[in-house]
Amino acid sequence: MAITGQSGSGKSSLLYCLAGVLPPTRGQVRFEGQKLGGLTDDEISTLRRERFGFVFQYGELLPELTIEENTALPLRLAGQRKRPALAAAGEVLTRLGLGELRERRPSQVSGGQSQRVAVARALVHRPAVVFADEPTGSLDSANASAVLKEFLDLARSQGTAVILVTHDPAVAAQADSHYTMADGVLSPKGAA
Amino acid sequence: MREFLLGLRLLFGAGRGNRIRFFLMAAGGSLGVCCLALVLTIPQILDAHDGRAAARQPQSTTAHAAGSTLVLDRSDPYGSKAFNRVFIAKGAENADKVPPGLNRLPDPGEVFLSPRAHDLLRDQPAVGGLLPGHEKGLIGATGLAHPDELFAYIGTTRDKIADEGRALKGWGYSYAPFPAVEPSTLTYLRFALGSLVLLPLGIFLSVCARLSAASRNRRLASLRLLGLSTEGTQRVNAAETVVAALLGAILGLGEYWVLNQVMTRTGLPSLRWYPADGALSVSTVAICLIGCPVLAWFVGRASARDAAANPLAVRRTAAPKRPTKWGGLLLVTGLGIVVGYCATGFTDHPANSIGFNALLLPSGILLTGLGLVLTLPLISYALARRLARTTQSLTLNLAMRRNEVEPGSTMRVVTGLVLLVFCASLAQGVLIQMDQVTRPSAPVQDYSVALPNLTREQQRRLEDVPGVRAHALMMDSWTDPNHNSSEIQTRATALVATCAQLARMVLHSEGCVDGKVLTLYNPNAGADPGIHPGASFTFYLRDGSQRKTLPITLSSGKVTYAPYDPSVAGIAGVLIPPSELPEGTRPESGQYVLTSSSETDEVRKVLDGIAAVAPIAKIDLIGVNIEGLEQIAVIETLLALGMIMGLIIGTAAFVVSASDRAMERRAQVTAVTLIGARAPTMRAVQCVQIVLPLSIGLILALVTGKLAESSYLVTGGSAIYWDFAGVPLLVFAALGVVGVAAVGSLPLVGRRIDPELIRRD
Repeated sequence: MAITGQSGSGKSSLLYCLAGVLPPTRGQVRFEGQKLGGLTDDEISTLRRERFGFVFQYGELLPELTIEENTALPLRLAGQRKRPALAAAGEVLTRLGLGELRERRPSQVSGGQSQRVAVARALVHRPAVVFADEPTGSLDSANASAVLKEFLDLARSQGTAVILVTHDPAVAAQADSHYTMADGVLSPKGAA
Repeated sequence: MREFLLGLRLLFGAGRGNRIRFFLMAAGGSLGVCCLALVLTIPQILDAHDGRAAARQPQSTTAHAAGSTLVLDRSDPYGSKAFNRVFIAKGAENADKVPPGLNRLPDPGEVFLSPRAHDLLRDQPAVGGLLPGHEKGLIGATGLAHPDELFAYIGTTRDKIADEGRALKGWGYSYAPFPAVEPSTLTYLRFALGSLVLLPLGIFLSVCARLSAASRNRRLASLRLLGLSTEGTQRVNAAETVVAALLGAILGLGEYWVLNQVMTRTGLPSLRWYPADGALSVSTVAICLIGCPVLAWFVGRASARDAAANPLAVRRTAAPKRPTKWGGLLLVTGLGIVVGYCATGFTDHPANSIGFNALLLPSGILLTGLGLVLTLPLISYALARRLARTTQSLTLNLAMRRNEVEPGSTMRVVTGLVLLVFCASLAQGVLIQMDQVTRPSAPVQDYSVALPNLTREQQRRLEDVPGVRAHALMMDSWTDPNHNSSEIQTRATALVATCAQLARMVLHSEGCVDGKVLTLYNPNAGADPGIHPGASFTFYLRDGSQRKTLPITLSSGKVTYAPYDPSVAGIAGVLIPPSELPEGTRPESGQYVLTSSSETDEVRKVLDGIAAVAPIAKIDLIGVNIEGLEQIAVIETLLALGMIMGLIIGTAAFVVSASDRAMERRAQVTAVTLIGARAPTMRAVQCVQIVLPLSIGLILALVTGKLAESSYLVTGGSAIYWDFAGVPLLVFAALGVVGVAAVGSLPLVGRRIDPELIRRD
């Protein structure tokens, strides 16, 4: 599902409301029957760790960790031991064509590769939903298109829902459904 | 100049964060400059003390004519302080020569007092016994070394001091009889204070210059890529640090002015001064106003070197370089010298501190301290790398990976505190050295008070003075002054004490039996031929106004004993049990002897206790001079002051640096929190990241600091001393530092997630 809209229209705020990061000013967010507003901080953290994934505009990889360790981070946060977590990360990286870069640091890979690692990190623990905030916003069009395709293919193969926020119509066009945000109101694309 | 102005434009045109950073730098710098001004002014304060003490020294001669003005100096311990009294008997000659602080010489019966002595006389009227006469006025500040001095000019008549008095010629010498701190010690003190304050200050300025390093480096790299030269880029950065340092210097001098006013009113333990003594000198102002900005210029240029030299690497956040190994070379060299000097302590010929050693040993200590700082990043890097690879803990893994890629910045956070522990060890060495040369080597200290100066009640109360562990009476046998001089009269000095009291006053005793008069036999001293079985002696006792005699005839019984050196017990030849003295009597002209431990604090406590019970009694301390004790007190105060200032600067550097790093990492921490990390996990990471290198640094500082201290003590010329006693204190201090750092790092990670931190569009 893609959400588009002009800068400042509130699309990122909506995304973070859906992820339980920001509280909605009105109404409530439900996930798998649970009201997110009624969860404790620890319960929300657990939810984000186990059921959600995130892709940010600039990747936000930890510069001190290797590519492999960055990818395995959600599994490690969920309590998985180091060796199986790194093995699972290696598997996802290989599927995204990054197997050779495992031992490198984020500063040693290109912007496109870095964003692919961010995608791998978001999907490595097979979450129910991935929230993506301008996932290709920092890339050139060729790279953006390739990264997005790999991202959505992998998510579909895992049965993971993706909610992505973008202002690029080309990116939004690849989503199964498309909504627009204007003045804080969400409408299906094409609706008046 | 163009770049300098551009730097200023960027500084004031940048956002709120940059302005906060600028004022933080200025405020931190002002703190450092304030401490620097204090360190620079301390010798001036001590010089002012000594100068006034020298200016009031009477110039006198022993030969005096009938009309000369006589003067007699007396310096007695009052508690742990010296009470100086100058008796003056005016004559026709030189009666117009007036010491500083007085308008005229006192007439007989007149007393001029220092304000402290005036207060003392008001609080304890019994002190009036020391000050015969009536108080006529106060001595002015120009006549006193410091405001807390006990000093009095006492007018008297010529006949009272004719025997000991000297003819007054004038007042003033070029040197003080007892300087506040010996010049040789002052050199070491400057070195210690410099280490304690200036090194943390340098680190602090370096920390300030690197605040917001990542974002600032990106900005500088952009300027460089836009065409600014390498030098120009460095100058742009230096502009900000120079202006901050200049503002900090001005603020710091103002802070010092306020501090000087406050401290001259409150004072420090054992060190007080007048506001004018601590006034800022031209050289101090020049050093602060010129030196600090110049230092900041170089620091600012150096901190922009990477961004200027390789702007692309900065823009693409290239992986940091591995720390250099050269720091390790300095540490090994310094430790080699220090350990070498320590090793001589195990030989029969320990190294001394003269000639070439006077240069080599301080160099070794400096190299060790410098090497310690420069080696920490390397050690931290190697350890972090190894731990990150092997650990199963996510927290440790994250923390160690951070330290691995940023060993230098982690070290900037902890270096101030590590250096402080290193310097504290050296300060302990200076104190021990002072202590060794000032106090007697015996583990006990004897105090002798003339019995005629003590009432029975005072004598009884002195037994209970805290710290006193034994007491006894000393008396000499009577000798006939009209005896035929061709025959030698034997005099016996008797110690009136029980066996238990004797045992507490001597190193070792054997054969003592309570209730019997015994000969005291010291195998290490020559036997007194007059003290033998069958010898008789007469001692005079007094019971109120009645005089009684105590005849003693020695039997063959003897106590073999080993007295401490020096001690009162060492001169006694006979032991008389207290039960031999008839009820209600005591020696007519003996001494009352008290014994305590010779630890400086204990001696000071006992002296204060004696003064509280018998304020005008003259106390003879065996083997101690009170001026030495006063010097130790001043040095302790100054070193403690240095430690406190160093701690303030070190802590400020730690807080500023740790906060800055946390601010710079907010985006990454937010991202990790968004993907599910709990706040406690991130806090634990933050904590481990700081605590681990800090702990390593502190352990190294403890080991190298103790070695440096030992090398200093070995070459000190006194008995070889390995300061194991100081280790627990330093360990506790280091643990405290680690604890505070750990707790202080926790609030750097907040609970609230702000997604805006990771949005840059």
